Amino acid sequence: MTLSVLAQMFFNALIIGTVYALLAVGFNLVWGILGVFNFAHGHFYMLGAFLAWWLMASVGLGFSISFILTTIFIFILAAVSFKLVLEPLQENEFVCVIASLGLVSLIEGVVSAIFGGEPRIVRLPISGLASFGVFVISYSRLATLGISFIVIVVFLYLVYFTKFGRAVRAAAWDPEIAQVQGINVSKIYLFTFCIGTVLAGIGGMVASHMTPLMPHMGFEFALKAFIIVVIGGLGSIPGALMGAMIIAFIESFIGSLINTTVATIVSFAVVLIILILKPSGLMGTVSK
Amino acid sequence: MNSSVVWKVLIAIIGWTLIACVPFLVKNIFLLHIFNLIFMGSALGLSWAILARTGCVSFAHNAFLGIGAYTSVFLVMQIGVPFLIGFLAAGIIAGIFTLVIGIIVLRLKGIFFVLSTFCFAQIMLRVFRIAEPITGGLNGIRGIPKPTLPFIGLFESHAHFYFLFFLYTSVVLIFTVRLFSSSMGREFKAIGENIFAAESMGIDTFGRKVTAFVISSVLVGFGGSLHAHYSYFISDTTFETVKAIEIVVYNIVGGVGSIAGPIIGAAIMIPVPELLSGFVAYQIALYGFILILIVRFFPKGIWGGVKEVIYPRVYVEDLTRTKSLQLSSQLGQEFSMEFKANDNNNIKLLECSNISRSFSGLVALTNISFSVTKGEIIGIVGPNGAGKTTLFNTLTGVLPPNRGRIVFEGKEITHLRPYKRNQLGITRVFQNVEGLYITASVEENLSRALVAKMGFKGIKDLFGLEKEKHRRIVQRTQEIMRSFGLESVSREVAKNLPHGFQRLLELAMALIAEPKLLLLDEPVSGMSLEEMNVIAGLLEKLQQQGLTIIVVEHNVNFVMRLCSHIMVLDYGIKIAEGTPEEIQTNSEVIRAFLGG
Repeated sequence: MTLSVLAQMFFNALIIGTVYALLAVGFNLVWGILGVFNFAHGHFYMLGAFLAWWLMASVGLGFSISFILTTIFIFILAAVSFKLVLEPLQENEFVCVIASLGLVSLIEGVVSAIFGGEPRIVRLPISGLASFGVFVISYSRLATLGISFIVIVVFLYLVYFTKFGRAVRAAAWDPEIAQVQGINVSKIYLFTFCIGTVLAGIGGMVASHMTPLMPHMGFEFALKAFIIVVIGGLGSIPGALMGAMIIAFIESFIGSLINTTVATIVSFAVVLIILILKPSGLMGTVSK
Repeated sequence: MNSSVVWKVLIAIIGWTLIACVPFLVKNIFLLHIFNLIFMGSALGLSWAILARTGCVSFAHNAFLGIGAYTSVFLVMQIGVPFLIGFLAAGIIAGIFTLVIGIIVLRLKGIFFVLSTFCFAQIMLRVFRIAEPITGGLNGIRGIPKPTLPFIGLFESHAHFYFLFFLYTSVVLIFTVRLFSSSMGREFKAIGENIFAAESMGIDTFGRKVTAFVISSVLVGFGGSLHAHYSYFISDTTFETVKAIEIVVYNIVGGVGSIAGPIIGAAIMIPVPELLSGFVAYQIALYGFILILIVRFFPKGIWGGVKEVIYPRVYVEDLTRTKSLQLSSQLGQEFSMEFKANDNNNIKLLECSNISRSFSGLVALTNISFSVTKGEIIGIVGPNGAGKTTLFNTLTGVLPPNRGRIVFEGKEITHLRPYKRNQLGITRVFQNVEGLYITASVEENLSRALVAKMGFKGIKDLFGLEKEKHRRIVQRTQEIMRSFGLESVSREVAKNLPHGFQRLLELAMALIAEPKLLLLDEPVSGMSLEEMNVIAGLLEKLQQQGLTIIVVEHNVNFVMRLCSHIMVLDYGIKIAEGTPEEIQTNSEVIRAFLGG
């Protein structure tokens, strides 16, 4: 194996890792703070990818405007889903999981009804290859890396350095006390859910050109978000970032060297071992 | 047998016969196919409910279905054994897999267990894909032969399969009903409602959960075999995650925790999408829409919702009456324990040497040594945070000590699980009534304690043949309720009782275990003076019967009245020990309590 192949795998892992990070940070936010295990999270990722494809390929809009419209649409859809379906059931964690499975079917069914079931290929308006000595990488993939990175940085700023972020963390720490302190917890929950879900949608948009799009692909991404969060630790944002990289590297290296089935087995085995040995995850604080 | 039971049995038999006759009336293959799927779904849902009874939610039942299916198909097609053997092996192999995985992951609590089952299933799905010699890999297995049973013959058509599925589902149903009303089933429910209470009551909660998991997956394994031989073709996608979710969905839609739930759920969630199979995309969307509507408006499931309409809070009257009840001074007069203490008092019952416990650096107990003589009442006092409850936790096994030794009746118990210690004779009453099943009635709470005491008697118990035992449970429950003045509130759920009654109920449950050593954690906190005197009188009476008691309490009068020996803790260290008089004048103790 040559150095260039290794470098290629490394860069692939890095790009997939940042996309997974977007996905998982949002999932973690929703699960860790709202206590909602949202199986439909991956379907918002899928929806982001499909909408970006539709706006660019069929409607003929540019990438930036499609990006903004999709973000707004997913934000609204997330708010509606949360208010109508998940929030009323939030108390009962388990019933909420089942309700989110209902959302999975609903979103998937509507997307297949509108766009059909055949795979869609997304082309970004940027083309060409950048060469870095021993290996090459397409500009579109670099764009994925760049946009994801910027969105994550903005998100971290939002959580750690703004008043909103403080309120979110307060609500996560103890909703009742936050309420007494004058924080409108239900509003915080709504925004947290929408932001977490929009992150998944953005992940879907920026990664849409890397794989063919299928309506049922959402579930797979919900699973990825879930294993990343368990590895990193429920409620830990740094943990989610680290977990995303771990899974991306396992997939990229084992996937290329052996095959993707074995890579998936290894990923889930890692999660199972972490669950057994340290259920709170590598960087989590939730106790056993 | 009274007439309402006769009617129920009669209706059940007629219903059963009618359902069995369906293939003679319905010739439509598609309709029969739907019926078969509903039977299958109900049986899988019921099997899942057996595990769920213990409070464990599994997302791995698709894996057990697959293990059963591949086992049976492999044995029948490649080894050439008869169907019946393949069928039995399917259940056994699924059970063995579950035993191994269960022992590893059932130690996890709550959501972590759920997630681990999910991961296990995901791994098994990929294993199905790569284990080509057995599973056919991505191509799957084609041409699975239809089953032949001895004396009956070949099951070929949908109508034939109807009878097979009907039989399978009936057996699973009857088994589940029997199991749930047996001692073991009641223990499952106790574990599901309050694992903490169940364990401290002497139920081997871990062992029971493993048992429930294995039973559940053996039944699913059988189902896998039937499913495979019913289909012409299976592959790894047959057992996709969706299958596991569907099994859970039947229960949620119908209502978790009931027998009718999964059957109703399957009867609704299976036909609806099948009827729309011409429009695949809409079918998926509609499935989701219906699911959302049902869980949104019937969060307890359809059966749960219906039940609320049929039984709308029957005991409202009782509740208003309990509010005005006082604890009677006659309390516990008639109560006597079945256990008789040995005459040889003055022997050491419990000996603790150098017990230490810390929580990630925070030291809660340092080198505590003490011993308890049979028949004594020992008091443990100390300011808040002195380590009193932690000491109890080390004695009951909830938190084993990091260092030190605990010896009970000459046997070392330092690292025994709580349920074992209960069986040896150490029982505890908690500080905040954590030992109650708060959603169960008073009567049910007491009889669960009796069930835990008497244990599960195997197959006979399962088939309801332990009549004598059940009669004794009912009789003894009545006796205890009478002597503790709980009769008038017997059907009230524990969480609606006034605080004093809750404490009393928990004490009664602890006494049912016939302990040799009773640990009481602040038994009279929040009680009035009269109530306190009643409890003190009861404890004195129990002491006369030979019971040894350790009591943690803030109320000085209570401790001084009852205890012959007092131990004082402060910051996890024993600072004084002696008779009540000695303690009252000890300067160290006065400083700890009053400061200075």
